[in-house]
Amino acid sequence: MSQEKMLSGCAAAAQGAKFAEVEVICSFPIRPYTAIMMELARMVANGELDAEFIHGEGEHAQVSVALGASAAGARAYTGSSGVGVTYAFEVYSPAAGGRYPLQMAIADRTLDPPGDFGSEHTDAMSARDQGWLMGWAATPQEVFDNTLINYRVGEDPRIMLPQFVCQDGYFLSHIPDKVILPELSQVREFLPPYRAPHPLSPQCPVSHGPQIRPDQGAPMDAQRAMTFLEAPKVIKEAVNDFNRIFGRNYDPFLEKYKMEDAEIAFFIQGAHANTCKSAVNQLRKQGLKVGMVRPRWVRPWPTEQIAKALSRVKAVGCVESSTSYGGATRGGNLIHEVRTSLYDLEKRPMVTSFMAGLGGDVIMLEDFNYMAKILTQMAKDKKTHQLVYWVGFEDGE
Amino acid sequence: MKTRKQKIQKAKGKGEKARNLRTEPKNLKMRTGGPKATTKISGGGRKERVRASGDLFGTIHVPKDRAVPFGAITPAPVKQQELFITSNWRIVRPVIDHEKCTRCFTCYIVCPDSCWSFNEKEEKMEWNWRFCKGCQICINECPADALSAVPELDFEDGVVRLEKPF
Repeated sequence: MSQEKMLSGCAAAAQGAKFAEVEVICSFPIRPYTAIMMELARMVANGELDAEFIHGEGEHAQVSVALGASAAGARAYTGSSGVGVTYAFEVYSPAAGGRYPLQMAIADRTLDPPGDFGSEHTDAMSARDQGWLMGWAATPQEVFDNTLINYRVGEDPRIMLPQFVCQDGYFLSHIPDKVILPELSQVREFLPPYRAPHPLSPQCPVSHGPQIRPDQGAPMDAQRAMTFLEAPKVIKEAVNDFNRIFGRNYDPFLEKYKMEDAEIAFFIQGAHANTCKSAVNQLRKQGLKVGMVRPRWVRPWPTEQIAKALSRVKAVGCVESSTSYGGATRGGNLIHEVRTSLYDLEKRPMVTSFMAGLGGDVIMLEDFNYMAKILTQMAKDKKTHQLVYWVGFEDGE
Repeated sequence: MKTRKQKIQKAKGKGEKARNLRTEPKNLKMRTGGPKATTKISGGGRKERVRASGDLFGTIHVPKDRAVPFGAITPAPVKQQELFITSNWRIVRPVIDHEKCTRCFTCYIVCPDSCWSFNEKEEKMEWNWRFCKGCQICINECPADALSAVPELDFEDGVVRLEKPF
């Protein structure tokens, strides 16, 4: 019997790892993600979960341990937050290049200066180009589900890549919501055991991560690039299987909310989407045709799906929650990808970015009202007046 | 789901001990043979696909002569590669006292460069001068105090004496 529980995002992630029957876990404390490891440690201690629980001496060690475990053929799990995510940076590329499908749970935290522990997506977004699969959840249920879906996609023989499973710190990681925990048999049907193609073994000695020549580097890059061409197909299969087995209704790539007749749209990732949906409802009561698109994956970026979803709107506002200082729009990261995705449309919408939800700020309803006002004006004037708006910090706001 | 405790009990029931590298060095198999060393990556087990395409993203095709194995995983070159001798920045070297050595394999486990191995014929630990950087981790970790740090200058073949180190 599946059961319903009130779980925070962290507890849901730990449950996801437990149901995925992870074999090696490597921890190091940093809030807010620490709660995941606390849960898992409890499970291992009381015999609920049979896994090696290793205390790393830092985040770099954490991902290295997970990499080694994965190389030896174990399903490995680790995680971090904020500066911990950036401290482990060196290991990200080898993990993807060596094709180790380990999973790293990230509960976002603002990067220093100094010591802001609020949620901001910059930590994980900084690592988006390292060849990992990556995506944000919006509810504890989705955290649980993404944990399983990511292992399934990452361990697929066509993919074999590590995965960042991200959730907003505190907003998601520490606020409980209803989570349906399935039967273990359902999970086993969905997620077959991990089989490493060439595990480290004394019986059949293999070299992992050898020195290669410069002319072998480009084909290695091409290997990873090819994997990302395959990934959308594999994700689609996995999510369809997931929906069938667990009775859910996920779109593989995007959550579209009231987009059928929308003229302006918010593009937003993570848990802020929940507030955004309330804002959409309120704004619709005022007669505004507004909708919301939330990507479930950042890597692979769902280019075609986004182009299709936003092809009929007049103005799009990317609600950023991450910084790209000095970037093309002086704003966040999402707009670079969204604008690129829309560039080849015959009638492309105007796109601007809203800097909001930074440093742990809550994006309030009135912030969405303010953004909607700007988007409406853009649609009316048929002009992008500004490439970026710092919500709450603009002149005359 | 079987708990670890149950697994250990089950193993004990069969007269086996739970596996533990530190107390049961006999479980470690040393490599004594295998395929020849190779400096070129080729002949990895799993063949990586060489072509993939996505509607919007064109086709990636790796030509045959540039193909690399999946994840660059290759059969291990069991032979030591002369090109990669890396011990020329050693200031001290570990010297073993075979009388004190208990064959506990701690040095084998802790050496970051796999410089300790077990000579099964002579039943003693062997040190590999080619790759030892003199980090002294084995010396610090040796529970039997069988290892000591001796300056390279004390040896006729000490790396500091070499005019052109390797």
